[in-house]
Amino acid sequence: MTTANQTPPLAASIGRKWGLTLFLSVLLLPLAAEVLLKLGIAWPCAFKMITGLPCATCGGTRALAALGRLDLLSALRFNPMVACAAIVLVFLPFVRYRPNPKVFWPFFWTFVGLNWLYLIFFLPP
Amino acid sequence: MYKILGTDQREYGPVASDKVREWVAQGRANSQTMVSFEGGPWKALGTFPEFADILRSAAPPPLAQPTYVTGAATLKTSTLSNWGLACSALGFCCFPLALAGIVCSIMGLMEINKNPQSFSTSKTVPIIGLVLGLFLVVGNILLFISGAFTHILDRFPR
Repeated sequence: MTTANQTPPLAASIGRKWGLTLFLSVLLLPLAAEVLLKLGIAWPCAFKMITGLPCATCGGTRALAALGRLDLLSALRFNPMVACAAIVLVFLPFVRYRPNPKVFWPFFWTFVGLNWLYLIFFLPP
Repeated sequence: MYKILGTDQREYGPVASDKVREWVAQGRANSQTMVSFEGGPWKALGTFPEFADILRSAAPPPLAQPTYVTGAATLKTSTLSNWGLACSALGFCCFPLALAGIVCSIMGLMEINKNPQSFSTSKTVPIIGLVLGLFLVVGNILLFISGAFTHILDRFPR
């Protein structure tokens, strides 16, 4: 359908919406994590309950709560991947660089694997 | 005369090159915007040498997925819906991710509903993400109210 004599929407509108969503999520997550931990109702990991081993996101709630308190070192100690993801997501809407998927996904899964190994051996109780 | 494809997947124009320049300057078009010159094939605006100067001086490119068009629009994946489903599923392990899953799924569903013909992702994906996220939230509340949570935490410490 051709729309003559009209003005197209801003080219960045979807990008802004995307940024807003992530920004809200990143603000929302540390707050929710803090409240859940304070009330003592943070969900125990289903994977850990079944296998006895931590999953790739174990320690994530504590990491997000630590980020909310701006305690970066504790956040990285509890779960480096969740802490890094939360920090990256805050700045993602403002970053112009888009990685090549062929480079990004192998890097991503390697990071997930290394993070998981760290959690299995070093996750604080 | 040029026609451009807006981020709403609608065609705008035909307009003269000055108008295209104006849209670039206003951030309504960029190097990734698909353009047809005199009814010819759709090409990215960045491939038109006559707009190279204005594109260089215009605002940075958007974060939106570029739309590649060769005669007809190519279907896009709803990234928000996929992340919504993934986050909701991970909510079983790290509960706050279920909240992110709900937010992303709602946004993904809105995105698909707004322009269903331009997405390859089915509505089922964000709906499953939303239902899964809500299930976890409601389940958590019910466990808390019923007192079962204390029992679970005693048996399976975090």
